[in-house]
Amino acid sequence: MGGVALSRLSLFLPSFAADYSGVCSCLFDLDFLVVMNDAACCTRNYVDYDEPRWSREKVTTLCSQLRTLDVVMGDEAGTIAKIVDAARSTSPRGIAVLGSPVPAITGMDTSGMAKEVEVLTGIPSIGFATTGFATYEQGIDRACRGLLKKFCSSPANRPRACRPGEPCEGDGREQPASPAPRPRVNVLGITPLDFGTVGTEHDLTSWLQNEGFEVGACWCMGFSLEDVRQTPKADVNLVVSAGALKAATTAEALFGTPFVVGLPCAGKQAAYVAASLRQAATSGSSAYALVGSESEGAGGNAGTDGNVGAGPQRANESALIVGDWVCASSLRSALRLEGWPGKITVASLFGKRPVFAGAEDAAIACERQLVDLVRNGNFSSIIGDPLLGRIPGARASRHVRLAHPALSSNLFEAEMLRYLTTDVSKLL
Amino acid sequence: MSRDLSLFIPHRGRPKISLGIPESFDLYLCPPACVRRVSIRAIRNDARGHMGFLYMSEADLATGAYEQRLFEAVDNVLASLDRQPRAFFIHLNCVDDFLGTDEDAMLAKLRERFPATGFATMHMNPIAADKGLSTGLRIHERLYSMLDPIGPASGRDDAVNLIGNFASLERDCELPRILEAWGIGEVRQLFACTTYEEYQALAKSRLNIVLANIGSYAAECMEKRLGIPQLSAPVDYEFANIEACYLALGKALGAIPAEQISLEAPHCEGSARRNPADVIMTQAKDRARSAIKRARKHLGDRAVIVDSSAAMRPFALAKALMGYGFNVCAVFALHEKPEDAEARDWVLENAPHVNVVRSESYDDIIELGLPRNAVCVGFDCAYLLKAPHFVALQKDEGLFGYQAVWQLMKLMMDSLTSTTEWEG
Repeated sequence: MGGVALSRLSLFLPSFAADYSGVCSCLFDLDFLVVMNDAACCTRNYVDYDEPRWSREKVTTLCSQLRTLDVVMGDEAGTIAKIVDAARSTSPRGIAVLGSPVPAITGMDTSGMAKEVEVLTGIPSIGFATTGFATYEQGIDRACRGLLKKFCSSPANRPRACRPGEPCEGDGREQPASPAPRPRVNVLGITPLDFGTVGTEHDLTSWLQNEGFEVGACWCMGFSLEDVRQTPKADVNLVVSAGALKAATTAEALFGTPFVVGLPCAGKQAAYVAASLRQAATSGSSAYALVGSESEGAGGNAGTDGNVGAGPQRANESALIVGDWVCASSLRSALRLEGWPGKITVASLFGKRPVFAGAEDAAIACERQLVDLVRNGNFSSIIGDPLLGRIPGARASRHVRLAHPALSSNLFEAEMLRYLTTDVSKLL
Repeated sequence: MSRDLSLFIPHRGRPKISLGIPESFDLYLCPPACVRRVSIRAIRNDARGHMGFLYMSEADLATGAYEQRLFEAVDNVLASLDRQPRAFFIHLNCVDDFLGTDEDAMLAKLRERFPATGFATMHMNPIAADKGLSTGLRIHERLYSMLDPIGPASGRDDAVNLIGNFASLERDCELPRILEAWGIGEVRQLFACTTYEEYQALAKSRLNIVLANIGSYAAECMEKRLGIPQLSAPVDYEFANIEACYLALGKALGAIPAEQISLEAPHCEGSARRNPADVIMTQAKDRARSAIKRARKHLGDRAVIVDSSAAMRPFALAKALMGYGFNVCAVFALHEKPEDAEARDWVLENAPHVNVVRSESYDDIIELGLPRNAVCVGFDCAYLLKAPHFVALQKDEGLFGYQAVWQLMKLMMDSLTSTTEWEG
């Protein structure tokens, strides 16, 4: 039996949101003209299945209507002319040129096209070599880093305030040793592909304000190009999905902004994330606000009461959480902090194992691996998208259904979790 | 077709039907992104169990290894199924147009290895829309390609096939009763087949009635390969065309003498020679005529807009409505079809006041100053205008003959008694 073929065969789950959807989702709020260089299907995938915010007033992504002759003749000029024409009539703040499978295999140069568009229109333009072979979080990553490099690396951007004890830029003097009263926090990585449109972005900004933080840019829901430009001013970046992990390290490298990885799920996890943010803002050191994985050492500071769900019978239970790496790891952290005693494994269908993954956590490269994990894991509970119930063996476990739109699109909008207001430990 | 950048109107959550063959399996060989909507739609339609995806990697494409992976995947799929499929479709997408896959050799190898299963390829490649037949026409043809020719011993039966439609005609449609009166024992439709035997029975039918142009190439191929004659009978909303269609249909079935050329004769009222089909047709026509009268009174001079998501031939629909006295102010032809060209020319020449929206540009539509309180026939125009009076007709589905007219009139009147709320 062909092992490689089986690793690429899918019989139970749908195809996942693609990298180009991740880019489009990230750019949705920014008044960009986003051009998908495809025949039709890729744009249709994004518009119909991966973008719940699309409305009559809000149109961002257009299709280039790529045709065989364009590809065979290498006619990038025709597409560029269409983009320039559209840009003149719509006056966007920025332009993005995206690739799709055919441009990927024929070597169309999206970055070069974007450069030419920028020269011709004078509008900042970015090319994204998306392929349709990769999944959405890689698109979010490309978009976030592309924006950071395009709009935030200008010398005109004022760096954030100096930290206590840190030499101030320009005058060599040290800042007085008193922390800023309201550290400024950017949220990185919130898109409908992970969080739907149930209001989690508002929950996050309200929570940050209530915790005494000033909210900077909320990438990528409810932000503007001005917010993007102000990103370097933050004292700390909060990473809430894996798609933004590299953007956070990029911001750290470019601007010296530390980051905290972790979603403030309802309950003690939120308090843990808040404490981690304060600590990072003060110390300038990045941290993972995640208990129960290899970075668990930091979690010891958060403390647990061990009241909720603890008990000998529950200690024998085990749970598998399948989702985005940061979201799923944050749920585990929340369960741990609330005292859930059983074994918890995190698995993700999207992306490589991050540094904060636990030893038994799994980066699922194909459906077959997920089938094997479910069959062999003997999990008493599976937490994740309702479509996971289609995986053979999953029905033997209790299924806590949390919709993940990057997997199931809009099939289960009503089962989208509001992470900050729903105590997941109560669901188990 | 416009070659500007194209804006897509979202159809999130709108029901869409994918046609298939019973007891078949569909394996898609493509990059993962290409089947996002196919796979979500299949789950929504509860059809994912007959479907698999073999995802190509960029390395597979570079090395050509995807062909070998296909054989392994088919092996695995067939081994994993409780019941062997009778037909197995390999779906190829846009990228395959640039790979040079040797399809004949691939299919020959599969047929040799699995002789009990029929194999065929299907191309979903909108990138090739600039050459030859459309993707829809070709996919439709493939769906009938597994039909076996009937042997010389067995003749054609008294059934007809409806081709090109994705949904059954509604119960109140006069066509099935007229066909029955003309001696037709059964009306067969691909999507109604529940077994492979029922599917194969499509090859025995005596006539293919092509209700939508998307089925025309399939019918043409079936005529050549299986010897089934075809008749184009597109959904129309104009009385004269409906009558002509029934006349042609009656002749094709031998129910109306071939020499009869009068459109009125088959169902002239009061005739002593009226047969049951004439009576049904007359009743249907009267009902449609009354419905038009009521709708005209109900709508008055209110503006009406029609679009290409409601009717396969929106210009023909607009022409019919104008003929009945409705105040058609715009046609949204976002997906213009050659079969609508004649009616389009008529509209352009005879009704210059009618706005024709071909671009999918939002700005163009706003600048036209179209009234929001118009009765919008079709989702696309209703969505773009956020129109409160929305007629949820989709691709003429379920409609035919005079019933199409009275159903449309009813829907137009109903749209004024309720208000559609639009998000966003």
